[in-house]
Amino acid sequence: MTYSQYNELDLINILVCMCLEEELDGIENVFTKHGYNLISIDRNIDTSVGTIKYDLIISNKLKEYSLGFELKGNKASNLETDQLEKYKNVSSSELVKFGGLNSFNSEEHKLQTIIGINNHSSENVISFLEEQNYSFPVLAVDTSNIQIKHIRIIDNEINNVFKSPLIYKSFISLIKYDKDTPLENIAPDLIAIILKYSLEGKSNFTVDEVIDDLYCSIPNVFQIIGGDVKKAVRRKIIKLLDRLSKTELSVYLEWDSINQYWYIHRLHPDAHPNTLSSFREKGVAFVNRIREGKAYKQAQVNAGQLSLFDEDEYN
Amino acid sequence: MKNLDINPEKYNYKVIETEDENLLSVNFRDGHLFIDVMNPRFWVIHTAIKAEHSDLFHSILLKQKNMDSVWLPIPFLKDLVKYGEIYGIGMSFTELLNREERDKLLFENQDTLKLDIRRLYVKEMLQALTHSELRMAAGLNKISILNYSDEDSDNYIIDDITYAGKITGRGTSFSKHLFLTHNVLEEYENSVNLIEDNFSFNYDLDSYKISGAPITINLNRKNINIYKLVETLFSGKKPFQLWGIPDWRSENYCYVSAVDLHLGNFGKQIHFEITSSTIKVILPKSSCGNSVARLITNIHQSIDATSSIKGGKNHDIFTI
Repeated sequence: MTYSQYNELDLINILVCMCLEEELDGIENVFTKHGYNLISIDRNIDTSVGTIKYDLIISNKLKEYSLGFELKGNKASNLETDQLEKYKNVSSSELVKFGGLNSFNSEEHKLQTIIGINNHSSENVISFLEEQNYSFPVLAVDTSNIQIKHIRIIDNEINNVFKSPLIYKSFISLIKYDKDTPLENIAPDLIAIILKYSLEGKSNFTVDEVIDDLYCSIPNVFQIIGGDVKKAVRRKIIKLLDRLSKTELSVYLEWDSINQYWYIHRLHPDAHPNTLSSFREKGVAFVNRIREGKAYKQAQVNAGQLSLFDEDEYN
Repeated sequence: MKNLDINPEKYNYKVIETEDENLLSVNFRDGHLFIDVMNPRFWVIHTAIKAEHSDLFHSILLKQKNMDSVWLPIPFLKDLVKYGEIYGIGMSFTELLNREERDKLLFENQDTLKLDIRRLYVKEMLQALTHSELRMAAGLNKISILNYSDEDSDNYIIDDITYAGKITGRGTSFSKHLFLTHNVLEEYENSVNLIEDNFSFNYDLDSYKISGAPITINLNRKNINIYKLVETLFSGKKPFQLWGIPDWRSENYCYVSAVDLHLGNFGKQIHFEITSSTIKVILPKSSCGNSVARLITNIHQSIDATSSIKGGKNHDIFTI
């Protein structure tokens, strides 16, 4: 899928697609072809210069190179000098020791910081880097090509790939959320996971279980995601669950504050298809409503009107 | 088989073990079936009883958890001609996208197109449909293969193979019938394993490698309303039985993380990226490849009989 202006999550997904073992139709797996593997996404690394957090790190063990990407989406107007200073001053061997980079010899290993941005911001960013005296390559991403600008990448083979520039047609979004993802983009998945749990026979779940299942289409990737992103997504999931339990899905969800579980009601492996349809209908209504920013209005029921769940009718 | 939820009194159902541990003998109603379970994942049911009984037994089996039928998409059926000569075809198509309200009220589950041809003019009909506007609805649901040679004219078989994996043999040679059955199974298993081994996603924490690739279904039908397409695919209802809420990223594009309601893959999630002309399937590791077979077969039977499926960059799936 292509956009006129990529956000940070799009840039992460483009890079992840270049790390797949199997090349996609729309984008070449250049990093894999040149021996690089995905090491971490948004993970904090504590070093002597402070906490470093690259948006994405890839490593080539044989070449003893790592590339750490600082990605700025949209207009890239928020490059922070204190962060860039840390990138400039941190030693690669520390990053190997504390950052889990793939290396045989930490003293020989070199990590290069690369700034990844939308191409239309590249001039401004390069001017800024030059003014501030930072020698970081700039990976400029367009809707059809990716090009390296300003400074060479230390790995000549990778540099040559992006010097050309690299042409691509599309990418897929394997990493689904980051700290900036709006609630209406998380809600559909969250509601589906609640159904999944219920069909597996689970009658309760924790927020941490949901985060691990929700974050990415690829199993195990959540293990290399940084804690800050998980915390941000966690806050959003808690907010969503709270809202869901008080609005459209109130009859399905209940918070147990003593045991710190969310309980699932009415949904289970033998639930009638109509129950699943009704759950979906209400889930869609919730997503559409929060997308439009509307307040919840409980369905009007006439006084005295019985529901299927009123016991009095049967006493 | 003994633990299956089948009422023994109602159906006169009894499982009898044979001397071959991989072959079970089953009494069902008035008849008798043999079940070859040598392949623990793909069973073969052999019987000469009336279709009404064997079909019923098959449908009861499919109501058991973790049971599914095979789903043979159109390219797979067409390629079976390599095992003989084409003797007949069956077609059906149930239009799901362009349904009006009165269709739902008056004509629930009615076939839009149903066709059966034997022997005469099969190739001509296939040719005509390939170049016609109707090709989108030419949902091949059955192919008949004749295995015959002049040198051995006493031994022949005509096998009708449906998209649901039912193979009806008429002729004199059981060994030729078995030969085709065995090959259908083997080819199908290879396709399902290809999907699971090569296209399901996983990140290996030891090697740091990301394996997997999306499976892409290209829709050739013109003017598809993407909203109707998404509702049809992900309402949770038959035939797709995928339950999901669309996450619209633009008016032409959405993600869906769907929960599979089909008993063969019950409760598992499959992820999709949808446009009006492509459906990208992102399978997590441990997903059942049969779900993909089911998806493309049902798309052929109710949305677009000309749609194609590829894995990764350009791997053919379900071609023999």
